[in-house]
Amino acid sequence: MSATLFYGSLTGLVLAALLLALVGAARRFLLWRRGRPSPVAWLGGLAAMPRRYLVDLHHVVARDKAFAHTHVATAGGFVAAAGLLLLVTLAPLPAGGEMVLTGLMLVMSLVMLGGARRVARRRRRPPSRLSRGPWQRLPRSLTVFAASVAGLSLIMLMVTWLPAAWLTGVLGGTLALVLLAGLALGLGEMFLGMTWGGPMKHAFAGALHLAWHRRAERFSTRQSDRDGVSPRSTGLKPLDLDDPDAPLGVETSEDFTWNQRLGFDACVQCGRCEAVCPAFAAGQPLNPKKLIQDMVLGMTGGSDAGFHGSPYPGKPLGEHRGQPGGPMVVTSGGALVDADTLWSCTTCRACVEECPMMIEHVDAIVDMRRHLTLEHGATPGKGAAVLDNLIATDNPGGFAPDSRMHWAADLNLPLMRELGQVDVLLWLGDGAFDMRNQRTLRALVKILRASQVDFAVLGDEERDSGDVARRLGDEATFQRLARDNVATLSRYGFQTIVTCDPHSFHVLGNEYAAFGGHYCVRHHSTFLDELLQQGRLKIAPRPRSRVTYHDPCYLGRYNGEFDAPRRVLAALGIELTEMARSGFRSRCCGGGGGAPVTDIPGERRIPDMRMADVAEVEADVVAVGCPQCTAMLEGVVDRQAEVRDIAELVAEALVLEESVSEASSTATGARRRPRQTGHPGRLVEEASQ
Amino acid sequence: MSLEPRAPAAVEPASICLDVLLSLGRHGLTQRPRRADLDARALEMALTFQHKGKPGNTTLSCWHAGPAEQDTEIALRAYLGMGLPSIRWMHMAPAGDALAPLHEALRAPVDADARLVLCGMHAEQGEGSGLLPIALAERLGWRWVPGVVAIEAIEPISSGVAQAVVLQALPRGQRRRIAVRLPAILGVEAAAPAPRQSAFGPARRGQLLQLDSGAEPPTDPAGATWPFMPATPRPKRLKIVTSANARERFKAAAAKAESGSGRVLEQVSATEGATAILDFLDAEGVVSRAAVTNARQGNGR
Ligand code: SF4
Ligand code: SF4
Repeated sequence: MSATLFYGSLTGLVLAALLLALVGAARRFLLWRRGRPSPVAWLGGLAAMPRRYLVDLHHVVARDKAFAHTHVATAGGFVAAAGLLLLVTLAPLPAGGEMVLTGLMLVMSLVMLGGARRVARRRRRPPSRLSRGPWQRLPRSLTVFAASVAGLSLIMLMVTWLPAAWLTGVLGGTLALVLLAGLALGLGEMFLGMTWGGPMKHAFAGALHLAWHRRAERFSTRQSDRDGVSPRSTGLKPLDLDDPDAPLGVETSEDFTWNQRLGFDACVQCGRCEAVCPAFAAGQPLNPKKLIQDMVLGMTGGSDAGFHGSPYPGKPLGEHRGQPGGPMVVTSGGALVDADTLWSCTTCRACVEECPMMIEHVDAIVDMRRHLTLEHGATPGKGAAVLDNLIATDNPGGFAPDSRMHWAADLNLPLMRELGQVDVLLWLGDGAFDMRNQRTLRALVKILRASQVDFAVLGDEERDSGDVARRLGDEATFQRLARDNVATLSRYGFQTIVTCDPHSFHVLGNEYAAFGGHYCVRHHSTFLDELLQQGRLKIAPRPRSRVTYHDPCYLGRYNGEFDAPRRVLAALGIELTEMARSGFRSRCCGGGGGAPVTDIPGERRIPDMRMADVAEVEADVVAVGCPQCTAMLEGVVDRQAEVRDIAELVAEALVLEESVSEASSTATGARRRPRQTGHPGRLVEEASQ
Repeated sequence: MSLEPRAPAAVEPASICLDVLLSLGRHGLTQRPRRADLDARALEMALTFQHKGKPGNTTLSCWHAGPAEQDTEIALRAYLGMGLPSIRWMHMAPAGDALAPLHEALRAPVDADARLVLCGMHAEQGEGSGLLPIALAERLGWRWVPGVVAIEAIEPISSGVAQAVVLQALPRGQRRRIAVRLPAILGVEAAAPAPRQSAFGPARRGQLLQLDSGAEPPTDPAGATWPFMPATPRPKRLKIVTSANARERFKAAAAKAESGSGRVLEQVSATEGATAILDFLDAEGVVSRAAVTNARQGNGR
């Protein structure tokens, strides 16, 4: 092979691959754009992309240290080697410069080769969360590409020193041919596969997804770093109900916004979401990873038989297919996704938190639920009854709205209506109707009184926050409740809203802004922590044995509050025994997203699995901070540990000063003796010490 | 007693016209407007029947007669949310009597082989006496079947005449299958299948066709002077069983009420049955002997 022929075919190969890849990229881009509009900062997003990749994405990938290094070597090596390859082959360069770049290309391709070998090692016995099929081929393709580029760089470096005849000789010629063939194969996977739908698609779509993400506010910026905040964006996006032509949720794949569609294409099928999904672990018919691949099929069409990962539990592959423009969900089966898959989700966000590609599973699931509820009235289980209750009585249980304060008949709680202006508005939530949560509320009131906090409640003027309605897809009822609550709150003056319900906390703090409600909301654990730090709360630490803490999803992952509850427990003298899954990896109790209402059957129950986590660390007490978690975990039969809200633990350790206990004697005086509560056979010490 | 499910009619009339009468309901605790439960069950029955039959065979029209108020609109939209394209809403004064406009609306002949009207056994608002469908049936000269829980089939019996086979609820979960010659009005019972969920999209899209009920319907002067108050469930007389034994108490609470007197007539002719009923009514003093005789003579003519 002559040198001209060698260089000619090299350039030709690279040029052809580049052009074909560009054509593929354009087609894919147009495919995404068939979704609904969503304004993005086109150039600003692209400019922010490297930072989002290096900081935010890497923050997630780095949770798996070994693989993070592998990925940096492989991806970094590839980007550099491929860039250099384009430069060296296509750009006119001075000879000296070309030599330097070729040398660099050699180094980079060797780095990539190292990475590719480590990818291959992981693929030898892949865990079940990883996909097989073309993904098993990927390490080989990476190796072939890296090795060919390295070999070719070597040849290019050596032609200057070796006699010209070397390349035309049999040995040199064969070597060059083999390397060129390898390069062709490698380019096929790495360049064409990227934009024509191979495994490498994740790199191309992933990069653009970072740039034009629908929730740009979830990424860190230099400003946020300086302020030391970790930005979050967890509130659901409101539907436009005023425009009668705007779709009510997602019926066909085209009803997703275009950048949601782009996001689906970014999935690298790493299965991290599958590994943490409580519904999947419970054997309910949901697998977030498969769901995202189904969303891709909704764009491109085709049967799910081509999926090479774990199916939805109980639903064999090959029975569902997508069709562009066709319905995603048919309630009677036959479409792409069955309705029970969507209703299995507890909206715990474990998948979103874990996804290195920043895909928003929960948004997609709620979008499709909205269509089912708002267009078909097909909310399963007790969903329809709960929504009817919310419409008629403003609470999910259908209780008389004027009985909301019955639990506090003896507490003489100050009412907003009478005071008009206080420091703290205590938001009760629908737990006010629940006998178990009433104990938590009483404890909280006792603490607030002991710390002489100036507080009041809305009383009967409070309505359900709309959390369940919204997660069940009934955006209309949610918006009605939100508007009514915002109107009520606007009549009063307060600095902070405190609530012991993380769901209300999330909705009031993150989702009411779209309806004109901007409030400073605190979960009670945060507020108690502040009181302790200000020295307004006197407690006598009471060391306890074997206590663990369950992070509520809507407090932790949704709002980033992991530390305050732990600080409060530490102040109580409790040394926590952490469960394997705690903090941002906490396993859901199964109570979110209306899942207890829709009640999709599985092989196990999610709360049982959570109590098994508690049993694993041999805890006697599991501290919680959410009425839903309390109800779900207390509902577990044969549980070994007691479920106590943080407020109850603090109230028990409270040191009452004389003047204060006098002032609040109406509340506590009558209940000096331990008293039998709703739980048969269990004595619960109330309030007084 | 449970009835064998009946096979669907082999032949269906080529066209069936279903009308459903809908009224305003209110939630018991908050008085917020919503669907009236029994009417919603009637509509559910009609929708299920329409869905089950040959497509395009059954036309469904829904009617409401009432004042043009926002609460009414909310309630009607809740019915639309069950998947109706439209409801015809005949405006009339709040104290108006719905009988005349409904009679006017239903009297108009329709081009259908079978005609059936469904409504709840009684309304939730106003008098709620349950008399309206009976009076309507009388005026139209149609049959009236109370306590219906399912329509099993509508089938032609001779040219131009069709009958409906329906299940009627009897006490203690018993069911009776009856065939009724059409046209007829069916009163739907609380034991009928629960209505489907009302969805926001179709509720917003559905049309409320406002009709003028023509001449102002007669108002009910007596009714205007009546005091109205929320209904409360009639307290049940408890049979106190003083037994320390829980099993005894349970048995007493669950026991079937003894029906002491009464006669069961089986396999008798219609005339014999009617005579027995008339004799009973006469003995109870509900109808006079003279009326009985008149009726008998009227029959003979
Ligand atoms: S939000 Fe939770 S339950 Fe829903 S798919 Fe994600 S991990 Fe699974
Ligand atoms: S959705 Fe995210 S976490 Fe799940 S498989 Fe895809 S890339 Fe991995």
